[in-house]
Amino acid sequence: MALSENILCELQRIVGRENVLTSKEDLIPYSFDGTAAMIQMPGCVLFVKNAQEVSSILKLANQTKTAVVTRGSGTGLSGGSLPSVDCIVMCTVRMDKILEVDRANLTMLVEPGVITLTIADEAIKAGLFYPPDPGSMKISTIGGNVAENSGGLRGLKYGITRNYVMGLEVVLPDGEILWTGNKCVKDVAGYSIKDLFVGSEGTLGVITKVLLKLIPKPAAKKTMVATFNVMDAAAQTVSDIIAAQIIPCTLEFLDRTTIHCVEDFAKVGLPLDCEALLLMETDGHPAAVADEAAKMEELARKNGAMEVRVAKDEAEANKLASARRSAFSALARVSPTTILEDATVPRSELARMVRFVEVIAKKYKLRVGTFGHMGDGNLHPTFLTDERNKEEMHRVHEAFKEIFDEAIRLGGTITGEHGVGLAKKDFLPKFLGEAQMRVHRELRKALDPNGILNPGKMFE
Amino acid sequence: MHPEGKTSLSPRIVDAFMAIVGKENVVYGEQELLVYECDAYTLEKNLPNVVLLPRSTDQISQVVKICAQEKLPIIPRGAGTSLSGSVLAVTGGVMICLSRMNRVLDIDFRNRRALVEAGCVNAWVTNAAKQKGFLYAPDPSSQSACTIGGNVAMNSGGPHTLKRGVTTNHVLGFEIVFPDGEIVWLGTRPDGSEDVPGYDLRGAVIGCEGMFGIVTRVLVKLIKAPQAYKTLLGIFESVDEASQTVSDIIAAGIVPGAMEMMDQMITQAVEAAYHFGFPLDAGAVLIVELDGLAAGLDKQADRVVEICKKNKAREVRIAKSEQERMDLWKSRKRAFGAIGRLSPNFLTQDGVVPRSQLPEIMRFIRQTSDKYGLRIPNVFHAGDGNIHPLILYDERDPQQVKNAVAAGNDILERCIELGGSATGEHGIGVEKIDFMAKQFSKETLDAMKMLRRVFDPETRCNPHKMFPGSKRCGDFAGKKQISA
Repeated sequence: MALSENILCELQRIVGRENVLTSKEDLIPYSFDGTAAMIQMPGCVLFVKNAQEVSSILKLANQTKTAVVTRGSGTGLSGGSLPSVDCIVMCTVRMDKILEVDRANLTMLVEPGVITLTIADEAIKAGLFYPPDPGSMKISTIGGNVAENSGGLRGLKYGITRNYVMGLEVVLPDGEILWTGNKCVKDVAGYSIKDLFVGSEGTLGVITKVLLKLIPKPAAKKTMVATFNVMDAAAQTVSDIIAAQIIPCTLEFLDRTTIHCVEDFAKVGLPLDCEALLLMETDGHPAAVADEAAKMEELARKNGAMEVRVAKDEAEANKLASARRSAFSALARVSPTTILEDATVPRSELARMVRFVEVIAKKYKLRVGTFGHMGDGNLHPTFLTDERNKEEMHRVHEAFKEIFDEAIRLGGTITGEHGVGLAKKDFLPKFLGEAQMRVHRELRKALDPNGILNPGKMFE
Repeated sequence: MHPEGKTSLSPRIVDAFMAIVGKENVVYGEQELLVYECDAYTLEKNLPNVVLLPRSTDQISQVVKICAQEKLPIIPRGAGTSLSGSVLAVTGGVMICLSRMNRVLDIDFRNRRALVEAGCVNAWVTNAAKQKGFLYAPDPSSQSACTIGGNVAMNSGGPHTLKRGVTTNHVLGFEIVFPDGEIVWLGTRPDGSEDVPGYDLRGAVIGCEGMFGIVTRVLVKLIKAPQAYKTLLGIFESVDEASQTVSDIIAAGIVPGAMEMMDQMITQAVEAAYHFGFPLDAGAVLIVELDGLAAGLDKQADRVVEICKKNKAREVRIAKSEQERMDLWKSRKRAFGAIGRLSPNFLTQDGVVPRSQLPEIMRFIRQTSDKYGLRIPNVFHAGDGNIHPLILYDERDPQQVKNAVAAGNDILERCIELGGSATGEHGIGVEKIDFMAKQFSKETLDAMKMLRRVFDPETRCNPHKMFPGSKRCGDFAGKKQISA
């Protein structure tokens, strides 16, 4: 059932005719997100400008029992912002203002549609630092990052989005607008409801303002790349670095397939004759950085690294980091469909997990490239496939099932940073168990009794 | 004294509890129960009907199931060091005390985590990890007595919050017994990876003041102990200049492990009591402690000295030995004790403001002091904006008592106006119920109540706390003169 004329008219009245898309051609770009092989046509797309509009829309949606799916840039990788059929897509990209940078309190207040990279750049301009750096930061929005609790390359040392959210303005499903949090570094009045909205994947409310924590910018940074001819040596190096009580800000891993695709795409001069590559970065006080970098190089060599290359300057460091960031795009060039997945295992099980992925790829005759945040145990096995080939897609799904079961068996989880969305929905109850699922359902039902917000996502 | 709705408990149920936890782990009878009539907030007191000291999660679950059947209030308790009355048995009920579940169960140095029972004392965790160079970061002043379970319930802080964060930043996951008796693990599991899918129920439970269930085992993060410390003492002409120094240090990109300030009145009292050699005419003293890798610490210290001097510090001393460092900290930690020299009674508050508002709130406190004719010395976590004004009064003078309470309320209301909070680390409990409606909108309060009912539909777990309209222990207002 398409959206009725009445509802559309009312929506146009709320946000203005120029902020509503309804024609099929206009809706197609909003019928999918970054997740492969999932397409559903919404009823309309709205570009909202403030919390009041969001509130009016949600009230209308409740009266008419219309589904609403919030969307930022649509870079999600678990189908979190995939529209429901004929739903209202509430797009926040035009709420893109940085409202305040407070240097004295080290905070930044932003609207949800601000691009993550813009936030990082603004922080640098103020001599400060916003660490979370998801792979898609050039285009992802902060609202999406908060909703998905996005990680990034620097997660190991600096943590993830959750650790940098000090306050939120949220419109609840019934249209009530509430503010939670403040600029204080500690505050124990009342429950921490802020924590519920971070990572709620657009199911509990619509985020309309975010108060972010910034930190002082590290004075120095050293970036290096080590290559290995056996995967286990790379994994052992990671373990040794952690055991040596060094917490680098980045410890990223690329396998052979990914290295080749990246080099082919980005031409940064990566060595092509290795099985595994580690991108390592340490930051902080110059003296401490020098110490740690030397130690990391030594550990890589001790584990038989073929080569350890230290970036000479900022430009080369950026080039190496962007090589890693382009891993997904580079793999995506190779085949019509790339299905990137997200599995996290305890650090001590990393090598075993990477080997398991390779075995499974062979078993199902699939091409896979694996990369990820080695320091966090967060891996992104990426299958290179073609969604038009139904038979091959079936094998991909079978392969993923085995990979997830193995991840859980090794004490890991099904999602490190991409969320549950639609893609991992079946795995959530397996991981959480019935009692926690009950709390999840009751919580959602209490906030959204009519089930209008992002229905069918995360869990039923 | 007893409020309406006092819980009654039949001997049959007490027998059932004894069968579960063992007779020796049941405290019953008015004399024995007196110990449990309040926590460190002593203005309101009431006896629970019974106190149980279980030895296992399973025992707790069984007990809680009986309480669910019989509709009895449950009050979880650790060491009872809370400063806001958060473990008070307002209408009686079954108090479940975790103090006999106090073991460190496992330390996983490789993955930097420790699994402890909820009754484990905070300081024991660090003690167990320190031979390998690790520590558990949150260090509330009561750390030698307070329990990890209590810390989870109150989301406790400590002097090192500025750099390291509070309890929620260091607790990966925990086992909890829900109010219906079900045992669930929330957050990261002891052998699992850190990321957990779904809603952050872990985060929602931390700081819930024991209202969502009973936490029984906790998986905490361990961090590497700093390789070196550098502790400085800046002596300033005024609180304003010391406050500006705090802001400038942060703005210079330095995040010290701790920054603590004492104003003139406190400094004089501390000096009179312990003779650390503080100048008696200084407007304020600021303790700045840098920690981290030894490499580079000297340079940071130089930079801090420079910033102090720029703000007209009269003198900056650097602790030359571990002994000198310990002495400096002793002066700070004993500051409360020195107050006895100034006044027969004092009332302390726990407001917090954004760091940039420190000079403003300090000015307001001076005005409040003048307005009510009461002296209000200050010793506080300057880096966090967490103030602890000490309102001095004499309980023999009823007008002073009234004024002290009014002054405390004025200061907390001003904290809220300045974008802060009525409590930085002590919690709402019963003490600060009246501030909830001042700090939060109706929508936010409703959302909190909704959340509570998701975990505890019958609102039986630690009832009559936090929310406006909760029952209080009789007519307590007139007794506020008993100092905190």
